[in-house]
This record gives sequence, structure tokens and C-alpha cells, in this order.
Amino acid sequence: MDPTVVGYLALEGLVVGSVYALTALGLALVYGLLRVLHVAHAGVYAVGAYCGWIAFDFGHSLTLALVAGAAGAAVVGVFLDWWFYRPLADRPPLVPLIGSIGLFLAAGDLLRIVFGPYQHSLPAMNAAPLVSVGGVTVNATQIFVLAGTIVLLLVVYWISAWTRLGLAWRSIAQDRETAAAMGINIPRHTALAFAVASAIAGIAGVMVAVYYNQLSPTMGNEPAYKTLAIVVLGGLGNVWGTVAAALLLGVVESIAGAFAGNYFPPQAVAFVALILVLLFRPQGLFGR
Amino acid sequence: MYVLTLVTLLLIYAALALSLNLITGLAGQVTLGHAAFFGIGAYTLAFLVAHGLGFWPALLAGGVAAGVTGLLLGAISLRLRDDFLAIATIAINFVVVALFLYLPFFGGAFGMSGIEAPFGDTGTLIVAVVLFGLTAVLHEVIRASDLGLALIALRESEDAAGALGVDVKRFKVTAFSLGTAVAGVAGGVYAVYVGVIHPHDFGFPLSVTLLAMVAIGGMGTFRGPIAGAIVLGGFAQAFSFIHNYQLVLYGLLLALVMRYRSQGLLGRRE
Amino acid sequence: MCKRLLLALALVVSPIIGAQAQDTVTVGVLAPLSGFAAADGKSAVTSIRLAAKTINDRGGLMGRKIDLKVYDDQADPKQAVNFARRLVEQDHASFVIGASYSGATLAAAPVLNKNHVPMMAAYAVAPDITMDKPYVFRVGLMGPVEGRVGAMLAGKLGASKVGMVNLKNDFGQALQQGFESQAKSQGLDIVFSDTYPLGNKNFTSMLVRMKTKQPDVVYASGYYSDAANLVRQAQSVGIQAPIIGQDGYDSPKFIELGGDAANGVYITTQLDRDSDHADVQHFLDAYKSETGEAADMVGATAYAALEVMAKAVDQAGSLDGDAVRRTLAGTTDVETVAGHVYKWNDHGDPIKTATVQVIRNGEFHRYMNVTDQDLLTP
Repeated sequence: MDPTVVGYLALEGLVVGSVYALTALGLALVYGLLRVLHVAHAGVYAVGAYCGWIAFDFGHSLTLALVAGAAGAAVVGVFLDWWFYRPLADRPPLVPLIGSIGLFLAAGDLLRIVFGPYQHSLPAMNAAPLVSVGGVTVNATQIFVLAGTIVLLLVVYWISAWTRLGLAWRSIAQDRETAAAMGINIPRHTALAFAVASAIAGIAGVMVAVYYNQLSPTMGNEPAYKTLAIVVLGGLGNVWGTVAAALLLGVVESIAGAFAGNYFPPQAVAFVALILVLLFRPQGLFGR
Repeated sequence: MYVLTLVTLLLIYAALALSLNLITGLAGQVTLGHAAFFGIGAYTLAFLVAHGLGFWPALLAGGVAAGVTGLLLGAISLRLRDDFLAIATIAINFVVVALFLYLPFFGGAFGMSGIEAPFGDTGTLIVAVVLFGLTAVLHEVIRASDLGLALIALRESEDAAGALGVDVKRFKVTAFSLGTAVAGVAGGVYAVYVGVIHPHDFGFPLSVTLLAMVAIGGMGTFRGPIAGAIVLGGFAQAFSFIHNYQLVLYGLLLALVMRYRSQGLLGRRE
Repeated sequence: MCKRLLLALALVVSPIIGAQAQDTVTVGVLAPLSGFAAADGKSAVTSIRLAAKTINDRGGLMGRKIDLKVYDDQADPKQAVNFARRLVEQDHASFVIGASYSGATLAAAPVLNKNHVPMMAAYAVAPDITMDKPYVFRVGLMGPVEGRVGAMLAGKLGASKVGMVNLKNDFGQALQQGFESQAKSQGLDIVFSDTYPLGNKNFTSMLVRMKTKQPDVVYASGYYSDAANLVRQAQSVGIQAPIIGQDGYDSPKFIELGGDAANGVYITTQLDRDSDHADVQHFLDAYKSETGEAADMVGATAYAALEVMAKAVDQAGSLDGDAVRRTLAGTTDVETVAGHVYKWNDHGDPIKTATVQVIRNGEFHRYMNVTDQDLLTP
């Protein structure tokens, strides 16, 4: 097989996987703290993309778009924590899960009502080849996504390993009661987790809008299902396992799309993998 | 006439909601993939009828096919709880839809069409009434029986139920099989009602709708799923004059009911 | 308990008992106004409203104003079935424009046919829609016919090797069938053929595999948002061969989303932007001033559907379903904004002209029109 094909598979897989990673890690973070599947996170992602788009339309600056996307998403995320998840803390998990799905559906349709059903473009960069790495041509949007992801992952690593915030998160995830008994302010740290997770999702939304030059009210649909699968594949609550699973999924989907398009939709890879993992290794590929 | 055809659809939904209630409301096992079993029943009937089999045997076959697949789900559910199970059922929904789309004998993207209702519209209505009636009876019999009490015990606390000698495994699997089998039969009735089926008719959005019917109506009760089916199933038809806002209202309704009245509209607080 | 259930049922049913009509002609419209197909539904309904206004301004249908009854079927068959019944029994529609996707249209068609209410499908492609239903007609180009035109175009562009990227749904399958059969008779060599599911946005890997086979032309089916990704990624991996799309690409959105990668793309479609016909230009101008956006194929076929039905009614001189049906079946040579219809065949499918447009400087322009009736007969 032509070696450039392998190169392109890796490139496309990593770019797609990076976006999955940024969105899914927020979900993993929230799950670790609340033990609730925040399906509406995909709605937050879409809202962030639209905030970024509005900012770009207004100021033609990608930086402004990224900031707006992060901020808009963070506000919505923190609001959901305060209004929806915290009051439902003592209910069976099915209740916030169903409600979260409802919020996600409402968010998507609200975006359609406000911005119209048509896709919009975010033409910050075009798709023309920019550099060539061993016969594989890479364009600006791909570099943007990959570089941005590396930066954000480093930030998350720094927070979780080197700050008191990260320590608090890990304590709460490990043993909620003991953490509370030790004086950790759980509501405040949870709100911060939502803020960070949502901001990252918002940035991911803007990145996707730039990479595909498209955003639409239904852009959260696929991430909604896929991030759930990724989070389980990575080991529920395990942030770094989730990131690894996301990147792996991106690459496998790319391979499936390239070779098995006639037999099998690449979208199904996540779910088949999920079922296999649940049957044979429920703690996830990278879980303990 | 129009109202009667609407009522037929609502009866199918009500039977579906009750079948889901067996699994989620009574036994407390989260399933977000119930539409897949509805689809298995529909496609089985459509396929068999297209190949010459009679309506009633095909309907039964649909129920069996769905119930057997439900056994598989029941087996999976033995190893999983709550969130894991929810995600697994979403995955199964997607895989089943992909199978309908990619397996050539299901018509692929064209779906299957021209599914004749053997008794005309009125006949289909009567079949739907019978379906609903039998489902309701089954539901109430189970709820009041030893199996039902065991299922409720399971929902309250799986560990406690196990400690008291309730055979957790057997009951979980039974709940899944019965619930999915009924969904399969409902699927067969739906296939002749609508006459044309496509893979995406049985996807995740429908599973969410069904779960919402049960949750908003009141999980675990008898009236709850039925009321949920009528309200949410009839939503789009009744409110066609605000067609632009259906999904957002529906999503908000779901979120608000869960936030402020999680026992559902007709449920009782525990 | 029974009381509460009955109350719930009453609440649901009461708004349905509708009002009665005045001295107007009730025309039903089934279109997806919410859900995944909302964009096309909006185009279709906007265009139908424009067509109704144009007809009403010219005096209406046999002197009576058209009153549109639009229902949002969400492109969902079960919604479509019930709204079709409602149009027949409650609204007493004289005829219905099927402006939704294939699944929903397929579900509604038998209901309307059984009740002798003529239906004109605008852009839905499933062949079964018109099959064995004398009251159901179609104004949009048939998928296999369009596929054949694509193969003819490939030959015209001087290609001998073709790379195919096919959308895996009823539309893509129909196009593929038509293209492959015509390609065979022309001696074109299909060196690569693969499919992708609807909504797929990642084509790079597949395109790279195709590139290694060195096709002279790429035939890629899809809808404009996926197609925009495809052409961008084709540019990114350095594919120089011209790309042939179809009327799924036919929307100004394709140009916006594809950006600079959209230039040079050919599409086989039904709306000729450079048409000499006054009606077409009037439609294009009216749509632009109404919405601020350029018109697309969905809008054009929806407009044409109402145009054609209105002409049939006028010619028949009656709103009776049978009279209209007979007139349509016997009609020859009618001009619409979506092309010239030579006639309808026994199934109710049109034999009509197609056009090839090419994108230059961010706009659609005519490349050639296709009038070969042998090629165009379904």
C-alpha cells in the first residue's frame, strides 16, 4: 500500500480524534465529579461554536472567536451545573440523564430557531495545502486543530497535576465524602470543573467550525453519542484514558472510512468497540 | 377517519411505552435503545410478508425476533449498571440501525415499502386496540405478580433484593425479553399502519421519545406511560400550528419535568 | 383515572377539529420545517409561497385565490401519513405538493392516491413514489436519469477513467445506477468506487486512495454540506481532476461552505441560472429579494410543482381530481422554472431537460443544457 495513504490516515485520524478528545475530556471530568452523564455537554459545544462564529462575523479575528466560544460555553455550562445538576444530586442518575438529553435537544433546536436551519461558514482559513510532510500535504486548518489541541491538553495536564484545583478534583472523584470532610468546597470546585470543561468544548466547537468551514444547529448530534462511547472506552471518569481513546477512535474511523466504506459506516466503529469493551473489559481500554 | 388513524398511532405508542416501562419503570434498568426492538419487529414483519408469509405468523415472528435479541441485551445488562447500561443500549440502537441500512435484504437506504395492511385502516385500528389491550393486561399481571414485586424490589436496591434471595439475573433477563418482545409486536403493527419503513425511523431519537413518554408520564406506574404516550405522541399532530417549535418545547418539557417533578406527571413521589 | 386519560386525549384532539374554507382553492403542502431537513423545507415552502403569490397576482386559479395549508412533517413518514389524511379529510385540499424527502413522501402518496387527490412531488427521488399511483406525479429529475447525464458529461469533459464517491442512500444509489449503466455503454472505465454514509464529513483517506488510481474525473454524489467538505478535502490532498456533482450540491450554500475549493465544480441539475426564460429570472429575483439568498434546486422544483399543477387545473378548467390527473397525463411541452417537461410517462415521472452548471468566481453558470430525449427518458 502506498505510504502516503498511511500518512493521510494518521493525519485525518489525529485531527478528528483531537476534536473528540477535547469534547470528551470535559465529559469525563464532569462524570468523575458528579457520576452523571452530561449529555447536554454536546449542546454546550454547539453553543460555543455559535458564540465563536458571531464573534468572527463581527470582528474577523480568530482569537476573538476562540475567546468568545470559550466564554459563551463556560457560562452555559456553569449555569447548567447550578440550575440543573446540583438540585438533582440526590435523585437516581436516570433523572438528570433524561433531563440532560432534553436540554441537549432543546439547545440544538433553539440554535436552529435563532440562527436558522442552514449551515454557516467560518472562513478563517482555507483548505489549500500549506506544507508537505513526506508526501502528505497538510493545510492550515489541520495545523490549527492539532496545535490547539496540544496546547489545551498541556493546560489541562498542568491544572490537574500541578494545581490545588486539580488536586481537589481528583480527591472529589476518588472519595466525595472524605473530600467534603476535609473541607474541600465541592460545589465551587464542581462549578470550576464545568467552567473549564465547557470552555474547552466551546473552543473545540470553534475549531470544528474552522476545520470544516461549517457549523449547524445539529452539529452536536454526533458528538453527543460519540463522546459517551469514548468516555466508556477510556474508562469512565479517567480523563487521560478518554483522551487516548478519542485519538485512537479518530484513527480507526479514518481507516474504516478509507477501506470499508462500502460495508460499514465509520460512525458505527465507536459503538461496536463500545459493545465489545462492555462485554469483555467494562473498566474501559485504559481503566483500572 | 383522520382522528381514528391518529388514535391507532397513539395506541401503538402506548403499547410501546408500557413495554418499555416493564424494563425501565418496573425493573429500573435504563434502556435508551428501545426503538431498535420496535424496528426489529417492523423489519421482520415487512420482510416475511414480502416473501409470502401471512400477517399473524409474521407478527409473531417479529415479536420473537425482538424478544430473542432482548435476551442478548438482558445478558449484557447482567454485567452492567445504570450509566454503562444506558450507553450500551444507545450503542445497540445504532448498530441495529446500521444493520437495517447495510444488509441488502432490508432494502438498504430505500427501506421497505408497500407493506399492505391486510384488513384496511379500520382493521389496523382494531389490531392496535388488541395490541394495546393485551399489553396492558400483561403489564398489570406482571406488576401484581411475584415477578412484578421482585422487579420492584430490584429497582429499589439490587443488593438487597439479591440478599433476600431474589434471583436477580433471571428477573432482569425476563424483563428485557418481555419488554422487547412486545416492542417487536408493536413494530409489526406499525409496519402495516405506516406502509413504509426506513432504517432511521428506529434510531436513537425515537428511543429518547419513548423513554421520555415513560419518564414524563411517571415511571413504574400504569397510567403514566399511557398518558406520556398520548401527550408526546400526539404533540406534533395537535400542535401543528406551532410547528416551528416542536423540538425545543419537547426538549424543554423533558428537562423541566425531570428538574421539578421527576416522578413524572402521574407518578407518586417515593 | 379514566377521566384523566380522556382529558389528555381531548386536549390532544381538540385543536385538530379545524375551521372550514371560503371561496379559495385549498392547496396542501407537506414539507420538513423542523428537524434535520429543515433547511430544504424552508427553501421549498418559501418558493411555493412565491409561486402561489405569482399565480394569485395573475388572477388566481380559475379566478379563485390559492390558500396554502402547510404542514411540517419533519421528513418523518408517520407524521406525513397523518398530515396527508388530515389534508384529505379535514382541509379538503384540491391537490397537494409533496415538498418533503422520499421517506415522508412515500408514506403520504398512497393516502392521497387512494382518495383521488392529485399529488406533485417536487424533489423526492424514490422511484416507488409514483409507481402504481395514477394520481401521483413528480416534477423533479429522476435519479438514474441524472446519473446518466453525469456519465455523458464525464465523456464530454474528455475523461476515460472515473473515480466515484457515492452517497449511501436512496439518492446516491439511484445516481450510481444511472451513471454506471451509461458509463458502460460509453466505454468509461470506473477505476474507483466507494460509498459513504449521510453526514460523513471526513473524506481525506478515501480521496487519497482514489487519487492513487489517477482518475481523469471524479463523480461524487451527496448533499451540499457533505459535498463542500469533499471538495475542500479534495483540494487539500491535491486532486486536480474536475469534480462532477449533482443537484444535491445545487445550493448557494455549497459555494459558501466550499469556499475557494468550489470553483470549477460541475453539477448536473435542473435550475439554469443563465436561462433566457422570463419566468426563471423572475423566480430567481423574487427569491433573492424575499430571503436575501440565491435560490437552490429544492426551491426551484417546489416552485415548479405548484406552477405545473396550476397550469393543469387551468387547462382542465376544473378542480376535480380525475380531470386534473387526466390533463397532467396528457400534457406535453410545459415550461417550468426547473426545466422543460416534454411529457409525463405512464408512471407519472417527467421526461424533462437537465442542465449542467459550473461554478466560476463563486457563482453558478450554465455549461450546457441537455435535451437528448433518449438519454432523458427514465
